Formats: sequence, C-alpha cells, structure tokens
Amino acid sequence: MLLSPEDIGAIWLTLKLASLVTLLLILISTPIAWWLTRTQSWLKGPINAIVAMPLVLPPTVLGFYLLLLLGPEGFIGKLLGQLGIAPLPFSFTGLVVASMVYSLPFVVQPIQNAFASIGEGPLEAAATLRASPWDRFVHVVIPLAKPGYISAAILGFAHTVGEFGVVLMIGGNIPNETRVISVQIYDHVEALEYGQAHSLSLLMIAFAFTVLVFLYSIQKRQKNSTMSGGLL
Amino acid sequence: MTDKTLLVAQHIQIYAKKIVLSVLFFCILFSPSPSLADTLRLAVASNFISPIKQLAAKFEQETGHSLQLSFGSSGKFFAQIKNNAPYDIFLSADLTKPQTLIKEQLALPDSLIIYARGKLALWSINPIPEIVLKDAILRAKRIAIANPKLAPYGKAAEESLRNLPIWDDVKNKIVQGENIGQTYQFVYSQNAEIGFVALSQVLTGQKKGHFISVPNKLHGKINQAAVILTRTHNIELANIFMAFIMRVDVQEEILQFGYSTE
Repeated sequence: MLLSPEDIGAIWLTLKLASLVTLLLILISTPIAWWLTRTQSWLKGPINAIVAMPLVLPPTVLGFYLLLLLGPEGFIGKLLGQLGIAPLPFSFTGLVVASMVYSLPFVVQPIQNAFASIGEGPLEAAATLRASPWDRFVHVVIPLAKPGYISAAILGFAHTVGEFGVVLMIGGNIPNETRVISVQIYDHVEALEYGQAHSLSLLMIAFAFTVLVFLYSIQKRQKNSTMSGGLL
Repeated sequence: MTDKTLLVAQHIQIYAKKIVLSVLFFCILFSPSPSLADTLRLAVASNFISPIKQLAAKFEQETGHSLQLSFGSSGKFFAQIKNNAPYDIFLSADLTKPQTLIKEQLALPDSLIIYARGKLALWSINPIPEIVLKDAILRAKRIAIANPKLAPYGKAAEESLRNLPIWDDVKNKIVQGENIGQTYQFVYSQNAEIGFVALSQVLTGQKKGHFISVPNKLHGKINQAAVILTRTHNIELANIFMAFIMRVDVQEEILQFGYSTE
C-alpha cells in the first residue's frame, strides 16, 4: 500500500466527520422519526418528502444551494453572520452541516420503520402499568427499535464516508479540514496518480463490502425485514 | 389458378411494390448523407466553452460539417482518451497532457498546436478596495484558486503568489476549487471575496464584478494545446479544423474572449 501522509490525513478526517455526523443525526432523527410515525397531521406527507429529498437530488444540486445559502450573502449565512458566526463553507463545521442534510434519510427512515413496526400493543401495556410517556419511550420504544438504530447508524456512517459531490462543492479542498477521502481520490485520478488512487479506492471498496456484509448478517439474525428501512 | 386468385395475387404484388418503394423513399429522406457532411467529435477543456461555441457555429457554416462538443476537465478527458474515448480532437487546458498523449501514441505527433494562451485575473463581486494587486490579495480573508496540482490556472495562481512574494502570508487563507469553474463559483457565491480565475470567465460570465489582470510575467505561460487523436475517424476533416482554429481571423476572435497573444 502506498498511502501518503495526506492520504492518512484524509482518512482520519473522513472518520471524524462520519462519526460526528452519525451521532448528531441519530439525535435529531429520533424526534423526527417518532413524530412521523405517530402523527395524523397533513404535514406528514410534505415532511416525509423533505426528509427523503437527498435520496433523489443530485449532490451538485445540494452542494450548489448549500454554497449559496450558507455563504455570506445567503439566507442562512446572513443569519449566522448576525450571530457572529463565520460562514460555514470551507470549514469542517460546514462539512458536518452539509453531510447531515445529505445523510438524513439514511438515518431517519430505518428508525421510522423500526418505530412503526413496534405497534400500539407494547405501548398500551406499558401505559396500563402506569409508565409515563417518557418512561414508555425510553424503556419500551428505544430497546424495541434497537435494530433500526443499528441500521441507521451504519447507513448514516457509511453514506457520509462515501459522500463526494457535496463536499467537493462546498469543501474548498483544504488538507485536514475539508479534504475527505473521496475528494483525495478524485484529486489523485485527475492528477494521473493512478497508483495512489488505487490504494485509497481499494480501501474504500473493502470498507463498503465489510459494512454491507455486517449489515446483512445482523439483518438475517434479527429476521426483521423492516430494520434497514427498505433502503437495502 | 382461377381468375379470382390471379387478381388477388396481382393486387398483392402491387401493394408490395408500393410498400417497398415508400420504405425506400423514407430511408432516403431520413438517412444522413455521409459523403457530403461529417461530424467531428471534440473534447474541450471547460475554460474554452464560450469561444468554442461561437467558433463551432462559424466552422459549421463555412464547411457544412458539424462539430459535436464535449466539455470537461482536461484530466478527465485524458483518462477517457487512454481508455479509447471516441473523440477526434482534444483541446486541452495545458500542454503536458497532449504531449503525453503523443508520447503514448494516442495522438498524432505533427498535429500539436497551441490554440490559446490563458490569462489570469483576480476577480471579485464587490469592488476591490486596493488598486495594487499585492495589497488587494493581502486584504482578503479568503482567496479562491483552482487546484494547482490539477488546473493550469491554479498552478499559475500559486506561482504568482510565490513571485509577489506573498505565498507564506496567504497560504492559510486559500481555498481550492477542483477546477476554475468551481473557483468561479466560490467567488460568485461570495464565499471567497476574491479568486484567481481565467480572464475569459470574467469576460463571458454572468456576473461582471470587478477584476485586476494578473501580469503574465508573474507566472509561467498557460499554453493550451490541441491534438488530433490517433483513433480519429476523419483525419482530413480534423486537419481542416486545426487549420481553421489557427487562422489569423479566428485567433483574433479567440483573443477577444480574454486570451493572451504571448
């Protein structure tokens, strides 16, 4: 393997990014998924659609609009500017925000499906035992939805690692700050450094294969077809 | 055979003839006429999009042949050509890639031409407060350049910063686009206050903004070379195109898009 210090920097940065994004996404996806499972509101359809949009949109669309929105003249950028926060593009924080948008459906949907498959029964049983709504959620729903959470974490993490278009658009290619593995591979290929491109690409292939084998094996063990959220 | 069956047979014959004739007629009507006009497939570096569109129309009008244009980064085209991409001519953003293709016998050695020389500009959406190039750069918080490893304009930008010499002062404020198209986007969205882009982009782009020309002496030449690829399907037409693009009036037209004479 020929991995340069830059390659290793890119690998670390990618792992850091994917871990942080997965953690944050699980936190914000839980209330979203819970609301989407329980609600009768007419907003359910539109919110479901918004959550699923990154699955359909090309990364260039996401990246281009994030660049405009988060920039100093953009809507969000101006708001942040008034709060004294520097523009997000070209920063690690910017990558985290962009990756959260991009990987959102991969985390929300498995959790949502896991919640839905629990049904009313366990919740009603817990209610008759005088468990408070919070108790019911923490001690009944979350443990029962565990397989969904595992799928969500794996898919969210893997998808953030494999992200390319969005980070290329808003990253600015700064070593150890925004230059992730996929961008580094792209650089190698464009610069005709095929040897280095191969080393990193083979690593990515091995990673993807391992993750998917792991995901399918837990899926088989759990015999729970809803856990991967219909994404796989 | 009875008279009736004979009559039916005759009818069938007549109809069959009619069908064959009309099929032939439609074939002739809709078939391309290969002997009269041909299509050349061009792989064109992104910075040359605007000029080649205008020149292609001129070429097509003059010769009656058509040009099929593909746009992308030179590095991508290089990889595609090595893998047998069906282009006739490659208009690169640099000189090295066409030279390498010749060395690897994927391009014709005698066909190499320098069809344009790039000019670098420091570009900003908002007015640039300093007139002196060096001061304008030092003042900015974010400076966008194209990836120096990949893009000739990025390499020229880095060389200029080193020659000014303010590279060490600004290197931590630099953000890189993977090509000048993306670099343009960074400045366009005002995420970077200033950026080094091709003068041709500034002159043909959507937003006018403000710019300072970067003197040619600050960086190596941005020679953009073109070659005819060995696997071309029409070498004569390819030669005609190469002669066309080097013609004096065409070269003058290219200069108007923000390219240099030297």
